Parts: sequence; structure tokens; C-alpha cells
Amino acid sequence: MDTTQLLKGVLDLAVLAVVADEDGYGYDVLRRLRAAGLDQVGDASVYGTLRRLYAAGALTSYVVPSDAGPHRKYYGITPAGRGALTEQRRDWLEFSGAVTALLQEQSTRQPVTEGDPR
Amino acid sequence: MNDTVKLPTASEAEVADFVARVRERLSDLPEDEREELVGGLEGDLVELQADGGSVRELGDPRAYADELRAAAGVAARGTGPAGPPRRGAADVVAAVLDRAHRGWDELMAVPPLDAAWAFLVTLRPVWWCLRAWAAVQLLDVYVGNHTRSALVPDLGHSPAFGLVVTLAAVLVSVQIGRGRWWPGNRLSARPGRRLLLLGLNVFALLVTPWLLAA
Repeated sequence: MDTTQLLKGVLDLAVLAVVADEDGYGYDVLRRLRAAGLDQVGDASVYGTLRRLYAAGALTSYVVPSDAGPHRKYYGITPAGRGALTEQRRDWLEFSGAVTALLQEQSTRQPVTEGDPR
Repeated sequence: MNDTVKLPTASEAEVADFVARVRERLSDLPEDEREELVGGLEGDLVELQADGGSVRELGDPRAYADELRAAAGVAARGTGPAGPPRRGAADVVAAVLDRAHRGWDELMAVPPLDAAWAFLVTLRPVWWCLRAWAAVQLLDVYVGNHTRSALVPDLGHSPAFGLVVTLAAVLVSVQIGRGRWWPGNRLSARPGRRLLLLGLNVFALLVTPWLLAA
């Protein structure tokens, strides 16, 4: 399955969850998403999502200078962002729960035939 | 932004070039909107390189800019991924220079050229000094009684004077190489400036062997 399509739908939620956990700059957020198993996530997609969530008021942003190189732009979650996260988390759990239940029901009725190993 | 004395490493220069190209691709946006998109990117990419990654793995900076823009929900530019509409002589020059630069980068990404090129890139500061020296030598040909045996020419004055001029030339050359002083060495610089710097470098490249062959 093309997980990049799936990812597009939940990238906002994933980014909000990561930033809610702890403030982070772009590359840091990317690294934490990948460490969490979302390793197909695109570099520019994550940075663009951060910019969009900031523009929408879900995130705040502040610049931290670095001795070693260019400054880092940190993002933190706002109360509005927390509200959106709570709502989207509930939606996702409901949705994924329904899909999981559907798939499990189906697999008990017919033996799973393995398709491509992805 | 504090002005550190640290020379940019080859890796930092790569990041700066990549960001400049992303910025160029977003040139149709108002400046504040563009900076909103690109702000912090340099820091993130430097970190990526420090982490063992490379901006080369990120692919075409224009496609990267398009992905960034799409994810940020900023309206896509009118043209397709083929490239921004270019008008006027300056834009044509910029397009030709961009294409040549890309072609060169692609060529230098092919083994074993990539290793040789990476080696040469670390020698950039040596070239900055060499071309400064060549400029002073050339000046000496015109104003001094040029003798090819003199490592530091006296410019028809005194050896000390020649040394001071040479050091000043090295300073200017290094600052230009670092992109700090006019005309700048960034890909986002105006086409006329890029052409000027390219011309000067090619000229220096041609004249240096002649000066060294003394």
C-alpha cells in the first residue's frame, strides 16, 4: 500500500502530537516522527506542515540562535493546537478502530492470502 | 545575525546554495510569506548534514520547494514543475547559469568524479588566495618592474608595500568567496553579478598558470 497517501491525511495529527510532547525545531520534529516509525515522511512535507499549523494558530514559533550555525526555529503547541489535537486524536482512534475491526472480522471469515509483502 | 569569523565549510555552503534555490523557486511569493516558508530551513538542513545526511539526498530544490509550498497550503504557482516563467535578458542569463550549474552538479555526483570534486571543494580557500595573488602579480606587470622570480611583487614601490597589497587582495578575495562582499557568490545573486564573478574566476584560472609558469 502507498503509505505516503495515508500519511498525508494524518500528518497534521502526527506533527501536533510530536510538538505537544515537547517543543521542537523542524529537523527535530522530523527525526522524532521517523523514530516513531513514520519513516516515509517527507522532509519538506513536515516543514511545510509546521509552517501551515503555525499560520493557522495551532503552533507558536520562536527563534533560538545557535553558536555553531544558523538559528533554529522552534515550534510549540498553542491552546488552539491542543484543542485540534484532542479532536483529531478522537477522530483518528474512532476511524482506525473501525477499519481495524472491519479487517479483523474479514480475516476470521476467510484465510488471509498474502499479497505483496509490503 | 552575528558575524562569526568561522569559514563556512563545504557542507554549509551546500546548504546555503540549496536554500537559495528553494527561495528562488518561491520568488513569486511576497517576501514575508516566502521567509515564513524558508525561515529556519537552513538551520534544519545544517542539522541534517551534521546527522550524517546530505542535502543531495533531498533531490531537486525546486521539487522540494513545491512540496514545502503544498504542505504549507500556499497556493501553487501558475506554471507546472517545468520552471518559473522567465522574461528579459537577466532572467535568460539566470536560467542558463542555473542549468549549467545543475549540469555541473550532476556530472560531479558521478563516481569517481564525486570524490575528486569533494576534494577540490575543500581546497576552495587555497584558490581564493591563489587568485588574489594572481591579481597582484598582474597589477605588478602593469605598474611595477615585474620580475617573475618575486613571490610577492613590490609593485614598483617596496616589498613591504607589495606584501600589504597582497594581504589586502587575499582578504577581499576570501570575503567574496565566502559570499560576504560584493558581488557575492550566492545563486540568488543578480545574474549580472554571477556573470561578473564567473568571468573573473575564469580569467584568473587562465592567467594563473601563465604567472606560475615563470
